[in-house]
Amino acid sequence: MSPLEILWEYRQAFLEGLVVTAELLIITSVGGTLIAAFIEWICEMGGMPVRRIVDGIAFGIAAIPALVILFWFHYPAQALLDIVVRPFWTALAALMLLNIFSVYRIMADAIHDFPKQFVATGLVCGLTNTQITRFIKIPLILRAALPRWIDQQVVILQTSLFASLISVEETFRVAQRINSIVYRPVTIYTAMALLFLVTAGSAMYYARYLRSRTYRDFSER
Amino acid sequence: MYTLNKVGKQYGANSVLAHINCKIPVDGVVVVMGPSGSGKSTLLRLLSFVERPDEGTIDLKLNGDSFRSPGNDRPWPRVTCVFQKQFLWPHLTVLQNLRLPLEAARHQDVDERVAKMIDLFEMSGFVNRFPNEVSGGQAQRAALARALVLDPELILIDEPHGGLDLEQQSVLNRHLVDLSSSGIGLFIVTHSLDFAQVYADHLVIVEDGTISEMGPREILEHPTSLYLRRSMGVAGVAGGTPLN
Repeated sequence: MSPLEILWEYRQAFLEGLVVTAELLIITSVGGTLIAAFIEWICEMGGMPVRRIVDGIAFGIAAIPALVILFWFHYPAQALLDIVVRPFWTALAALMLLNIFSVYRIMADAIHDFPKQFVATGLVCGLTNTQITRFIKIPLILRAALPRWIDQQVVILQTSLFASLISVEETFRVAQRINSIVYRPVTIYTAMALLFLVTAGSAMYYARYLRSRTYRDFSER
Repeated sequence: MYTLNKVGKQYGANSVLAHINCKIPVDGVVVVMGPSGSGKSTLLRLLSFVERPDEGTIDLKLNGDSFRSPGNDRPWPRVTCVFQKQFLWPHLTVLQNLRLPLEAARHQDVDERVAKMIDLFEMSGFVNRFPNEVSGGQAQRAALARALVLDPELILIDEPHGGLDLEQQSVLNRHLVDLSSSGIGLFIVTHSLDFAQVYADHLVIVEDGTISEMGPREILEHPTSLYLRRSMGVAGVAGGTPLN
């Protein structure tokens, strides 16, 4: 069978795998961002003691490899709690945990690094606090955070491939299964590479474009 | 008139200004000078009401109205400020930087006011650029124009001459003189002794977090503060030589 014939023959399976990957990514991105925003709000309300605790948790999670977290949720956690959870939800929980604290870190850094002088300038120009938040703070914080957020979601997309190791029928697992039938690794994995080049590559390119719009060259050239 | 009563300001354990008691006029051109790190910019931020003193009070009487800090008084935009690094909003073009204060205040004649500022500061060549695409002199003019769009009565400017070449400084000084002539009070922090000698109506000298000398421009003829005496090379000060 030619490469195109293979892809066409197994299109249903590939599509189903893509849907699972998309589900993992969308739920993790949206849910993780919303929860991260809530955690940042809690830290703002709670002050330094709360922020230190959250920062400590974020640091710990960033230090542990994603695969270790995934396997810990899949085996020890379920054994300890004496429950059985579908692998999809296990993978989702692991990806959400990673994304929540990474996005929290992105938000906290963007807010913390925001130059307060832009607020002062708004005040002396007669803007109200609400106008300063709407026209100055939010746009500038988004500009700082969005490229990093996009890069983080690309990492989540790539990390989602680990879900194949706990039998989640996402894109990579489907590709492996089909390859075990037709044994055409060059075709199958080249298609996978192209898929990620298009999806993740596009997102990374957009993040780079956004960064170039805001980057200021401080070199002496 | 600013009235400072036992004003002090600290950043952490560092006392930047301490026990300042004085009255500073707000009409004409007030020039604030002093060595680097003496507290000039901090004083400017306190007088612009964007920061509050940790000790004491600052009272401002401006054309019949009174404002006090610390407190909830907001004298802006009647009192406005141009900071040392201009802080033009980077996500807006120069034109949008001028328009935002007017649109936020719901002025009806936004286009006319903006056009007037563009003409006044000769900004038509760069008004559609973003702040990171203009030169230091252009950014300084844009920041000044933004401060003026809402017709302030008092402008505080922190080191407007920094990073400008002689021609740009001359252009800026021309604009500042025009502003002063139109009745707007100017409060300028600068290291430029030349500017003070030519344009200042009043001088305030800040050294080591206190006001060591202040008065009309004539104090330059007989300076008493160490900073002025060193800057002007008055005989008798270690390392200083007379200018003539």
